[in-house]
Amino acid sequence: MMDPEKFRHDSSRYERPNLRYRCGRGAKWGDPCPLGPTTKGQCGGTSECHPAKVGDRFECRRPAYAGGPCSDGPKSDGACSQHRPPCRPRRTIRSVRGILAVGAFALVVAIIAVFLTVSPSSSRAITSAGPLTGGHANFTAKSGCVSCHTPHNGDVGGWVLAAFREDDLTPNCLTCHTFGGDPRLGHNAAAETTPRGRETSCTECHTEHKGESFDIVMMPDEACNACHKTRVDGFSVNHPQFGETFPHAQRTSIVFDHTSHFAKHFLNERVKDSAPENCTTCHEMADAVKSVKPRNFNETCVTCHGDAISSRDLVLLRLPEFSENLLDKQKVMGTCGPTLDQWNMMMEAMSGEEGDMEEMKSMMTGEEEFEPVSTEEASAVSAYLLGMAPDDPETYTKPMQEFLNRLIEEGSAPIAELIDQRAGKKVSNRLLAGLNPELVRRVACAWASNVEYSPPNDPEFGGWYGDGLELKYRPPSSGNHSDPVAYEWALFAAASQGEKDEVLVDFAEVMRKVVLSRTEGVGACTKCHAVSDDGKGGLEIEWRYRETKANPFTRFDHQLHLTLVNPEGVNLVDPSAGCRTCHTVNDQAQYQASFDGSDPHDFQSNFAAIKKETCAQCHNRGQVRQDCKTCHSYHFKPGFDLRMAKDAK
Amino acid sequence: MRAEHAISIRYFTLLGIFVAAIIAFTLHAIEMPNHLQRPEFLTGYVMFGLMLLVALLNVRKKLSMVPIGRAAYWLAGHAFFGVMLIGLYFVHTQTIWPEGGYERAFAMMVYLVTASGLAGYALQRISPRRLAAADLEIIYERIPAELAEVRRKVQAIVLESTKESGADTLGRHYLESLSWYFRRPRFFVPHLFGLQAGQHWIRFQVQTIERYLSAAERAQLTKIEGLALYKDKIDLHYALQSVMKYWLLIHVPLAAALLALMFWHIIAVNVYAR
Repeated sequence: MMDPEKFRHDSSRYERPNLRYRCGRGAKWGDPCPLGPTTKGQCGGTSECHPAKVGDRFECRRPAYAGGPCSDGPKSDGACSQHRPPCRPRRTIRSVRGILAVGAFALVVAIIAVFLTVSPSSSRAITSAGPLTGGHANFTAKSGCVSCHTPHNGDVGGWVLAAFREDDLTPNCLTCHTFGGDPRLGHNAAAETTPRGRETSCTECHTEHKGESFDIVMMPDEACNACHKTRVDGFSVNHPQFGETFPHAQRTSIVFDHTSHFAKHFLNERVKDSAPENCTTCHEMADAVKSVKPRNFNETCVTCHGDAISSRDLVLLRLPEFSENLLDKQKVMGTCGPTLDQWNMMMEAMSGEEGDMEEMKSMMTGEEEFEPVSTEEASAVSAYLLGMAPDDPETYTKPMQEFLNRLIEEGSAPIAELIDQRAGKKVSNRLLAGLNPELVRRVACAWASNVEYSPPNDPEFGGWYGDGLELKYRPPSSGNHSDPVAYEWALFAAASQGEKDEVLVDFAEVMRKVVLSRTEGVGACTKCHAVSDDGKGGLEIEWRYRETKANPFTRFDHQLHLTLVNPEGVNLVDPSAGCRTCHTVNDQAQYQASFDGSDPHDFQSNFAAIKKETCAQCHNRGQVRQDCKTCHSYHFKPGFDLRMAKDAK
Repeated sequence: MRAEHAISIRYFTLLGIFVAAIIAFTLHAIEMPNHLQRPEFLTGYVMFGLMLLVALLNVRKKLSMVPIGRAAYWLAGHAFFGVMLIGLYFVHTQTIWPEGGYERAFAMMVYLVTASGLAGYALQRISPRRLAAADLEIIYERIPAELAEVRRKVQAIVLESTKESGADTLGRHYLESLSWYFRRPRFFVPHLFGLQAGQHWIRFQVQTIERYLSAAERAQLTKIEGLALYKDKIDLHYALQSVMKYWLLIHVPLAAALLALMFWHIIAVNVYAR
């Protein structure tokens, strides 16, 4: 223990660590002088004291801890008599620390200032929070920061204003990124059921400047739980059960009854050899992602159903039963010429027999009793076109006969006129494509003469033809699945759903039922193509395979799953067994009945609903990932504006 | 004693409340992204406040005359908040090594300041105990004077011995060996690590010369040995107190640089990231 007496006020000097300088001798491990350096860093120890003048004499003021007053005493001029050479005082640690701290602060400020002023690239280096992700780095290379950030003039004022101004980057994001709905609303407000909620901005979820390979679309499950009231902690943990019809929200666009085909048709001895081997015979796996499209008609259905299209005719006109004959027979004969019966009668009359002449006169003047050649109703199509009840001769006789007169004179033009009138636009050229006006005139002449039309030959190859009391269209048997005339008539019939004329509404409905009949409609189009509500009060015929629009925020990659093996060890790519891991036929479902109406959502699927447990066999804790983003996406139809690529050049 | 105890409780309760508040805030900030909220600005400004608060320790030390709490409590708060800043930093950046040159420089500075702070805090906790066990108390600034006095005493003993014995054995040994030892503090590194290299050196020197000395000279040598061992304790003080002071030459300038980086960071994010 050090002797405490050594530190009495008269034994040692008072050390002040907060002084900026210390004795240079002490710093070199010599004996430090008692007075030490001055506050300005000069040596204060060249003399041992600063003598004080008391009265007319100078007195020594050497402190006690340095030995007290010296024996020599001050000189006569008041200077100390004890001299020693000066030292070079050193800074104290505290002082050095202060200098280093201020220096470090100043150095950083200076470096920042230099970076800001040297060049734009060095300025970016000091302001950028980090590299952009690969794609963004490319297209911002030309314009730099202002590609996304609102420019400020670069002067101090601009910076200050920018610091207090909210810089909403979303509009700049939207110059390149496009979405299927409002980009600022939850899930782009794509689904009607999506709550609108508050407005969002891109930067709430997407953060940039975190490196080229940063996953900018990364989103934690908790972010989903922020809005969704049903909290999900993991798919296998508490994800809600799928819907009762999952993954289908409506019936298929193509009517294909898997149950009846599997259980009945494919086992039929007549077509057994043509039956598909497995699912992938009919379903295209090459580009299967969420939907697995069926192959087209000519690759699949045509084997058994190739003749179906040309077996269903459209009856455009049918001669109905007339209550009386109001036609001017002489005019008809003048225009059309005599019929075979009339010709024979004329020849007999010219032979000079009185009775024959009387009979011919009676026939020419229409005085003989009228016996209509037809006892049929008018066709549904003509009933709609002419706006007349097809089963009431009293009302349709006159207009129909007048119409026949026009057909005789103008051929198919009156029909085209009525079609365009009903459609509200020019469509007759497509609906009546291939219809020879002369055929119409001849059919009309025959009917006006109260005889059946006799075609010169059978309609072997299809097309427009007259046959007795009907003018019909038969899709050609050329194997063309997409017959344009049948297609247009189906569209015309579907469009009649929007008929506004109250008189015509009922006729339109009848016509629609006939043309779009699944069992009798032209070309058998609707046997396979569903006729559905279009959501706007009209009907649409689902000509194409419709990829499911249900669950727009759910994705499933069939291709990816086909590379896997199910829990039972069955390779999912095996079409005969693998598909059944998830898809099992529901033979109790009333699939065909689902197409009786036009509501696509009133349906029963051919397949049993997929249950959550099916997916959870693999997507489970400790197995395959099961976070929200595994199956769900946030944005609706995200896309890019091509200007992005243009600007990057 | 009881009053001092009460003060301690009061200060540590206050510190505990602060620490609990920061922990609660950190947990809240961690949760914010899960609610589609960005924690960066909130955590950033809290960090800014905390950094200013910990930097105030230096001001507190300079204002020792103002009654704003004991320096020991300030130091404890400085250490606590400093450690928490690292946690907040991770929440703020959501990474341990950010992208971008400036951000990396900032991160590097954060880590260096924290590491130097932790090292310094460890030194402040360990070194005083070792010094207390040295059975000597000496102010760092007085070490040169004390060494000079020890040296004077040794030289006086050597001169006296030479005069009395008429032999220069001890004198030559002093000039050739011992003067090196007494000239300045020695065995800095061994003292830092608690090694006895100084004492071994002294014993070796004594044993080397002892056999050539007369009985009177041996008595003088014993006095010199005593002073050498005393100086060894001063050397220990010098080594440990030096480290306790010099680590601040790293920590404080780095902290100052960090503050400068932080100010620019705040400007940049307010201009570009709002």
